Amino acid sequence: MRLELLSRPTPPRAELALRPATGSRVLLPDIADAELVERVARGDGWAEEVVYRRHAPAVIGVARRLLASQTEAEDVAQDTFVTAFEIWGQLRDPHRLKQWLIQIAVRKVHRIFRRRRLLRVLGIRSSENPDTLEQWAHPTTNAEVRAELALLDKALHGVTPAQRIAWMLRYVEGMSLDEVAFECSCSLATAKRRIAAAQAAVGALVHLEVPHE
Amino acid sequence: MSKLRVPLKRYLVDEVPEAALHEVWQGIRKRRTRRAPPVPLRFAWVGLVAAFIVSSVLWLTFHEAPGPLATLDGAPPRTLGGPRPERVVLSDGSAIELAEQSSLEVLSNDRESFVTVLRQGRGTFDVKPGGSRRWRIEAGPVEVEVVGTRFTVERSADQVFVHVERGAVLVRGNTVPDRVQRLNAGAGLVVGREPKEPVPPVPAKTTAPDASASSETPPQEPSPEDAPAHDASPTAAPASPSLSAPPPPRAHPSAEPPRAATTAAQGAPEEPGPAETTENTETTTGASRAGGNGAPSTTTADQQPAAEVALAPLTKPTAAALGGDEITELLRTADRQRAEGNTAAAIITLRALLKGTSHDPRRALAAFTLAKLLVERGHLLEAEAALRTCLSVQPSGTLAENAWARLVEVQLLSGQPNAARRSVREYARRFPNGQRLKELRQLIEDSPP
Repeated sequence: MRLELLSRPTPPRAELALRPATGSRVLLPDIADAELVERVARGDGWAEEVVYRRHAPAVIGVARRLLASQTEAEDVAQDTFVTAFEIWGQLRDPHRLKQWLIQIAVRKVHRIFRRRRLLRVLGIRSSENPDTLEQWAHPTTNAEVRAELALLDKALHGVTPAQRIAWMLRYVEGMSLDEVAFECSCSLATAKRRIAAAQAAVGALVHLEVPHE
Repeated sequence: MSKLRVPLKRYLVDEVPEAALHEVWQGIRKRRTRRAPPVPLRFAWVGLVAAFIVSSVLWLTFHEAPGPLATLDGAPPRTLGGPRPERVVLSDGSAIELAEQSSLEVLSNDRESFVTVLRQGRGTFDVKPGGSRRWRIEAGPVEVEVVGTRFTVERSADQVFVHVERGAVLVRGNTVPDRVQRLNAGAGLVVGREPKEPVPPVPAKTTAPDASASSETPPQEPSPEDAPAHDASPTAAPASPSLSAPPPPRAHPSAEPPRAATTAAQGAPEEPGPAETTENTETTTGASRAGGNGAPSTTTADQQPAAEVALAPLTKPTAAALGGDEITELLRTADRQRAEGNTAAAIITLRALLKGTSHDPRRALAAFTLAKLLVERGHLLEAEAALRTCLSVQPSGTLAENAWARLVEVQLLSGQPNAARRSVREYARRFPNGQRLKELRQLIEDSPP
């Protein structure tokens, strides 16, 4: 695999967006988020792309797991970064850049859940959820786990989007309760309540090995 | 059943293809480029708002409300006029032209009003339109109120004449019909004095004039140059702005001049026409055609109304043409008024005569005389129209020759040298041995090109 360094840009700016050759990966410069945040605030396009390259996989990954849809996850990622660059000044803690981006993404995901429900009400979208976690199982995952993931999909289908998101951030993404509350833009108690509600539905079908809280 | 261990993402695909990342990034860049206008445009509205605020502040800070009107030397006008004509240009661009022996006193002069009193003489007021300052000219029995226009006020011992050249004015006064009249461009109004003492009610006494009543000498055939008006025929005076009805024929012409106001208003549809006017008009027409026999009636001065109104354009003779006696009486009245030095009233009388006649041959002489009087008062365009009326009625003869000569002079005075040259050529063609041909040619040669 070839590595390409996303170096400090030199004009023309279009070079920033050069797509790496097929099969190659972008090697990101070792610059702290705090510095990138500052540069982006000054309108540094190169820093914007570094921020994107650094955090887009996480954003897309979370969105894809929450939505179980690659296409919608990419849309969420695009909306997330566009929004983030527009409201860049609202980022208070540069060290929590990734969490802040995911928080924005979670809001976008919530919106997509609402849209899905509206489409179902209008009869445009099937009530059966074609997007499942099970389909995103790693190729090396055994059949038992796949079956558990399918049951998990079924259990989460019966909870509200807010509960689903909170539960998935907690148990799929492995976030702490505080992080879940932050990403869901809610209080810790609300986050716990949502997680508990979803867990009640999930626990009936799937047994999770969860750490003691 | 196996237990799923959290975090569950360990069982899921976590990689994001580079192609997907690149595609998303391209989408982000495209949207950000589209959303972010160039800096100058993005902040254009800010600039506009800032410019508006700054200009508002500057205007409020430095704007000086218009103060009192001043003459060009900076002093506010107080008393104007004197033995010689005077023209005063004021700070707002308005101008006051006073004839000789005129006197104008400024009573009030502030940002909202400019009030003057015309003690005597004639003043022409060219008020710059668009301002908020209201002008008011007091002239004895009348008060003229105006915002932007050009008009003339002439005050004599017994009456006030108001003539509007441009715009419109309101004329108020106890002897004004309905106490207030609106005069549009081209309209004129003569307002008589108010009676000094209340007039006891006297039974109406209307007498048709007979030979003894009009004891003056009958109108003689005058020489064209100093003629009282006599002549008639249809006319096509091109640019006459208006026409006024005459003061009523009087049995005693030497008595006090009529306390009558006569308005003329062409292009003032809101003004009542002759057939629509109220008692004032009726008095006028009654005076002109009392008894139904075409003989003009006479009334005493006390019986005369304070004002009389008649409206019609000069170009259109009234449907009910004046009778021969009435024309004679009007001509006499005009002569008397001229002799008394009451040029304004004579003009109005002659205008009325032209309005009320269409075929009488004396119309030509009336038009000629009217033109002379108008020239004296500086109304050159109307004078030119009157001369053309004269020429259309009587295209040949001594009167026509003189009318052509006068026309040349009027055209030169009104700044139409080319028209004057054409008129001289026409004079030469019609009157190759004309007495004034040499003089007119000399005038043309002396005129600026």
